[in-house]
Amino acid sequence: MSDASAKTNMPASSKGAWGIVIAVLVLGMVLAGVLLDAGQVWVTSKTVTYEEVERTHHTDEWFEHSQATDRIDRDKAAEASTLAIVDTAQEHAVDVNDSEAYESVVHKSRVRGLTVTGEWHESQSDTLREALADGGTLGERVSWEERKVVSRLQLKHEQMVSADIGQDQIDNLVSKAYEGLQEEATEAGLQSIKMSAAAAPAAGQPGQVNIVATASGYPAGSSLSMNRTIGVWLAAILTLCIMSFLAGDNPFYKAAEAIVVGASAAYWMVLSFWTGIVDKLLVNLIPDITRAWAVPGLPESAQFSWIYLIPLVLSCMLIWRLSPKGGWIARWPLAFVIGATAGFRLLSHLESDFLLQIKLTITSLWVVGADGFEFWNSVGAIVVLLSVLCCLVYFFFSMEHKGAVGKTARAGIYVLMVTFGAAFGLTVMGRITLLTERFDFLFKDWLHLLG
Amino acid sequence: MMNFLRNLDRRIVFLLMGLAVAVPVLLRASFPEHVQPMARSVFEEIEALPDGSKVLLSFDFDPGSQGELLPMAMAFTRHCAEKKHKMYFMCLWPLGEPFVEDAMNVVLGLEYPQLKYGTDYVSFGYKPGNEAVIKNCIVDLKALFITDSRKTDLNKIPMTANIVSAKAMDLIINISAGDPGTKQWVQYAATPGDIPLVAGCTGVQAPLLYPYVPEPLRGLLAAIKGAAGYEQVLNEAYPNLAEPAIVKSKYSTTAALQRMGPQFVAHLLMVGLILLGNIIYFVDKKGGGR
Repeated sequence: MSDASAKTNMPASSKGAWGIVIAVLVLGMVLAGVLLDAGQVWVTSKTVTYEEVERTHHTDEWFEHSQATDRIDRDKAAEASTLAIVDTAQEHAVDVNDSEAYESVVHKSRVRGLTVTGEWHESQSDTLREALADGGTLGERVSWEERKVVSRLQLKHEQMVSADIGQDQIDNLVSKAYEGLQEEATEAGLQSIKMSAAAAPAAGQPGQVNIVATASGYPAGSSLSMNRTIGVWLAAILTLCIMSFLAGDNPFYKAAEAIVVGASAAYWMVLSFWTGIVDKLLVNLIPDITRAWAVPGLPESAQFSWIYLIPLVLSCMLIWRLSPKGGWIARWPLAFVIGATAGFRLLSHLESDFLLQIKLTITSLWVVGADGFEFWNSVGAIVVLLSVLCCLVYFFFSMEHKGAVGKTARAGIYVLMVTFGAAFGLTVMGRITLLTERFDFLFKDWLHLLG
Repeated sequence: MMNFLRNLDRRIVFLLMGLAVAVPVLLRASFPEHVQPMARSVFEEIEALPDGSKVLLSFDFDPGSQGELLPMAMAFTRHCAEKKHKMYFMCLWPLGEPFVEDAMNVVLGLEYPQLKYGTDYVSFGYKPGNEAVIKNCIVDLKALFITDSRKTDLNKIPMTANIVSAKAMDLIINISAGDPGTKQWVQYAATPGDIPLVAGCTGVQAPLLYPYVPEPLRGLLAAIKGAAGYEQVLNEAYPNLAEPAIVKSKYSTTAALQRMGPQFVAHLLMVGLILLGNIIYFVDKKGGGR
């Protein structure tokens, strides 16, 4: 491929059109940002105690709280200079003066679920230390900052008046309703308040005017979460970039595609390292080091297992492929993988895809249920049998498809067509659902057009 | 006119399809949902289990399929929670783990605060190895899963301490977007282990999985249509799930039902375009061909 063909240039003829579209999009985004709070995510932040957290989050619930407190107290009584942090699986005793060791234990506990899944601050470790040193208990003194996403609250004021009172008076009432509601919203502590007030003829009530004033704002104490807001904007812009491919290949699509591929690859790589190399290989080869470093929940009974040296060696041989010399070494583990996979799959395919399918096809054509003869189930059984036979005849190439065989094979083609049609229909349904989900995100999470 | 239709720019079709989906989404258009027998049989399979049964839920999908599969994954989670089943979450797709976390933190954590991690639900997390993971699960689960997803020893978690293999499960629920997925659960768990299995899958997979119903697959939710039917049955059986606060939550109890409105309009457009294409074809043919 030449360099020129590898580039994704916009067609020269449509560059002007692209420029206009992008300008309109940017303008639309600015307007959406100003008028609709597009992408804004507001959160309330509240400090909750361990006991409160324990009620709603999965911390160390399988450890009774009273029991955990007892164990803390017991340990403290036993050795005044040592603190015990009771977590999901075991106790850690650390010297209060050894802050490095202490931090390490707190972090491990966090990994294991002691410090909840929400926002956790480094400073909390000091709080924890002070609380326990003062004689407090884990449940009462230790706290976490919990953040919750909040939506706009809406206040509404409605008033029905006669149209006969005159436009000036109606305008006056609208103005009063506006001011009254604004005062109410301010008193409620709403933030980023948006107001509206208008008068309109009441539906179904001739001669009456309906005055409606609305105010909306985020609850008192909430604040704009910049990182979440940027996240929503990024997701929305990338979605639009991907959708732009429908108009033609373009650099925005390419950039979004590259970001998706890169982020996915990085996620896979990191996860595979932790779940494959650490969780499978290292825990069996160097259990003590792995326990201390990454898997604190690894049972003490875990021992070095020599059998895991084999996958280690095979993995190293597989990577040899990247070496300029001795690439053939990679063929041995590859052969092992292919052979093992083929053997592994053979039996299960034979059992579930061959024998079981034959068994399920050979059913009674005269279906009798608890209430007697079942007509439609019988029809279904006959159709399944005939369809299978017709399809099998179509794929039977040892005989020429002529006469009765030809007609049966043709019927087999129709059965296959119906199958492909059903598959196509379901595929279309899947694709439309994907589009629906994206629009749902754009309209609800980004533009806040849906409640 | 005919000439315009004959040379209709594909971008106009895309635009029409976009409008056909976007407008019903904006208007929250919904239509009466006919529940298919298959969705009802999946519901019955979970409902018939005694309260507190052990259920293994495997979320084998990624964000690319969340439009179709996430509503049914959350509906399965809610149904198990309503029945007080013990839930064992896992996933064979690396990008499925965030959905497991959301099911636990957002759905169970907020809607069912009485349920506790470790005693009512637990997550094994993601394990690489595809079908080999399933095979290991039904032979010796703890040989593969030493710890849960939070790195806690499984022997120290009450609901996993006495579990030897997936054969201890009363039901397996699989939500699948491809391989590894329902096919592998059928081949390596349901058939050899004789463990009841129900599944939800993407539309693309459904025709390949129907032959496994009803044996060994007890029920299958195909695409968003299956999910909508299941949501309808579930919401009828448990009216508390229809409360406005839950309906408007991040993972709504009517998420799939809401997505059937745009489906209906988009399908009408598709049928209309196919008919139009055929009419143009026959008109051209009658006129001597072009």
